[in-house]
Amino acid sequence: MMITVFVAYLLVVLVVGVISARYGRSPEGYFLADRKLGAWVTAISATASSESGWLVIGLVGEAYIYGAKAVWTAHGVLLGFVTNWVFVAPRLRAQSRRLDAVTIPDFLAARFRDQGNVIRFVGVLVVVAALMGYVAAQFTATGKAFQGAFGIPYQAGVLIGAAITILYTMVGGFRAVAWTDLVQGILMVFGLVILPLVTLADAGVGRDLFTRLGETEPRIEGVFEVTRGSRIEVIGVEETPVTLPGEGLILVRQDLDDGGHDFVVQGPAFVLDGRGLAGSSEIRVGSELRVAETTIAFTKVIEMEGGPDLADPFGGEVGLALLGWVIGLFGIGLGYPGQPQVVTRFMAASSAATIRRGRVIAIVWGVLALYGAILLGHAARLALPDLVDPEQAYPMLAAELLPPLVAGLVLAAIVSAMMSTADSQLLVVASAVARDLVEKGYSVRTGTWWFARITDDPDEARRRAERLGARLRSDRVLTWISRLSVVTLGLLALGVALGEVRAVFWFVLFAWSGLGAAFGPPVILSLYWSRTSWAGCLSGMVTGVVVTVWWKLSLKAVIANATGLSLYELVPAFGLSMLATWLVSLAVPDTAEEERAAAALIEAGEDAG
Amino acid sequence: MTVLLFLIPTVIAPAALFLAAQAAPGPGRVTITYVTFPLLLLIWVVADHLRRSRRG
Repeated sequence: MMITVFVAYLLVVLVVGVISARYGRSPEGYFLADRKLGAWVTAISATASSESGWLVIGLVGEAYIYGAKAVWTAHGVLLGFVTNWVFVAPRLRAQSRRLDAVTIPDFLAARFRDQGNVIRFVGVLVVVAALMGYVAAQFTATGKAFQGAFGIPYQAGVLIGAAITILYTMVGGFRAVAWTDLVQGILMVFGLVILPLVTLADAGVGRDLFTRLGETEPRIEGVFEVTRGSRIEVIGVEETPVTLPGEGLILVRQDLDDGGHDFVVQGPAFVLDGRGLAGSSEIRVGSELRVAETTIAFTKVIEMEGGPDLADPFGGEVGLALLGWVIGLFGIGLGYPGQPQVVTRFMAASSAATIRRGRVIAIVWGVLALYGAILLGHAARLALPDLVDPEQAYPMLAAELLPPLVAGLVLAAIVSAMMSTADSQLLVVASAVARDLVEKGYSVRTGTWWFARITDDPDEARRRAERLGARLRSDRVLTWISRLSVVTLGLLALGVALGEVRAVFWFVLFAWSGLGAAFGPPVILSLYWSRTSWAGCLSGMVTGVVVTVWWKLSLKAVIANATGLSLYELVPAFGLSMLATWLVSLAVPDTAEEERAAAALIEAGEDAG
Repeated sequence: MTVLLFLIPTVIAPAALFLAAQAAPGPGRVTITYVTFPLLLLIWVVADHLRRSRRG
C-alpha cells in the first residue's frame, strides 16, 4: 500500500512536469515561468526548495539528540525566511523585472553594467561549484531515503529519484519545478504536523513533554553495525569525542596510564566497542578502511557537553561557547538572501501583491514545518529512547504509527524534500550555463561571445560571433540549450552520486555558507543602496567565498582553541562580505550616471512590498 | 532608517530573545524560547499584511 501511494506521488510529479512543458517556450518562460507565479506557488516552492532533506531528517535528529537546545536552529531558519521575504523579495522582484534579469549573476551583471562579464562569470563559477555537488548530494540522499523507506537498493533509488527529477525539470523547466515544489512542500508540512501529534499521543505525552524530556538521560548509547563490505573513511583525529553526526570516522586520541596513547575509532558519534582497531597507530587521517571479515559493532555514544538537561534551551552551555552556539544557529538565516534557488522564486512572482501574500504563507509554512520537526525530535526521544540513528526517527515513526495510506504520503514527503531541492538547484546551475555563459556570455566591449573569441583572427572571431548571435537570438534554440543543460548537468550529478565521488561532495560543505556570503551582501546592498558599485559587488562576492573557506578550514579551529568561541563560518563571511562591498563601493565608485540609474531603479521598486 | 528596520528583526529581536530566555527561570525559559519568537513573528507578519492590504 505504501509503495502504491508513493508511486502515485511520483506519477503526479511527472504529470505536473509534462503539463508545464506546454508553457514557457522562451528562456524567461523556461527559467522564470514567464514571471507569472502566484502567491502559494511562490511561497511554498521558495521554502521547500531551501529546506531539503535536512528538515525532515537532520533537524528531527538534532532535536532528538540535543533536546530543547535545537530550537535555536528553527529560530535561525525562520529569521532567514523573514529577512528574505521582507527585505529581499519585493525589491528583487521589481528590480530584476526592470533589468530583464533571469538569474542572480544575470541580475548583478545587469545592475552593475558588467560589460566585461566579470561579475557574471565569477557568479556562475560560485553557483556551479557550490550547487553541482549539492545536486549530487540530494540524489545520494534520495537513494538512501528509497533504501530506508522501501528497501530499494541504493543505486536503484538514486537512479529512480534522479531520472524523475531530471525528466520533469528538463521537460517543464521552472514552472514544473515550482509546481512540483508546491506539492512536495505541502506533503512536507503535512508530515511534520501529523507525525509529532500522533507520536505524542501514542507515547501518552501531553503538557508534561518538557518535564519528561528533562528527566530523560541525555547520554545515548546503542549499537551501530558496519556491515561486511562497507567502507569507512578516517576523517580526523580529535582530542575529545566529537558528538555531531557527520560522514566518516574520527579517531579519538586517548592517553594510557603507561604513558603511551591509544586511538579509539569513533564514527559519526559512534565509539568502537572493544580494541579491534584501537591502539593501532597505522590508521591515519584520510585512510579508508574496508570491513572485510565480519561485521563491526560500534557502541554509539552521544553526549552533550555539559548539558545534563534536555529541556534546557541552553543545554548547559555558558559563556562564549553559548554565544557562539546561538549566534551560529541564528546565523544560518543569513544564508537565505544568497541562495539562487530560493530568490529566483521572488523574481518569478507575478506581482507585488503576490509577494505580500506569499510572505504570510511562507512564514506560516515555516513555523509549522520547523517547529513540527523540533517537536517530532522531542516526541521521538520519548517514544523511541534507544534509537541507534536519530536521523531515522521520521521514517521509523511513520512506518510504525501511521496507517499505510498516510504513512505512504508521509514517507513520500522525505523524498519530496530532497527532490524539491535537487530540481531547483539543477535548474539554477542549468540557467547559469544556458543564460549566463551561452546567451549572455557576450562582451559589449569586444563585440563577441566568450567562446567565439578562441581564435587569434579578430575578423574570424567577429564572424563566428555573428553566426552564433543569429542562432542564439532564437527563443526556441535557447530553450533547447536550457533543456540540454539540465540533462547534461543532471547526468553529471547522477554519475557523481552513483560513483560516490567524494571530491565533489567536499564542495557541499561550503555550499550554503559560500552562496550566502558571496551573493547575500552584494544583492541586499544593490537593492537598497544606489552607491553600491561594480567593484564593491565583485569584492563582496570574492570576500564571501574566501572567508567562508578560510574560516571553515582553519580560522574556526584556531579561534575556538584560543577563546572557546566556535562560530559558524557564514557569520564572519557574511559580515566581512558586507563590509567589503560597502568599503570598496565608497573607495571605487561607479560613474555619476550609473549611480543615477541605480537610484532610479531603487526608487521604482521602493513601494513594491 | 532602512538599516534600523533591517536590524530590528535580524539582530535586536534575537538578542532580546536570548537575553530574556537567559534571565527567565525554569519552565518560563522554555516558554519564552519556544513560543515568543515564532508567535511575535507571526503576529507581525499578519498585521503587516493586513495593514498593507487595507492601504491597497
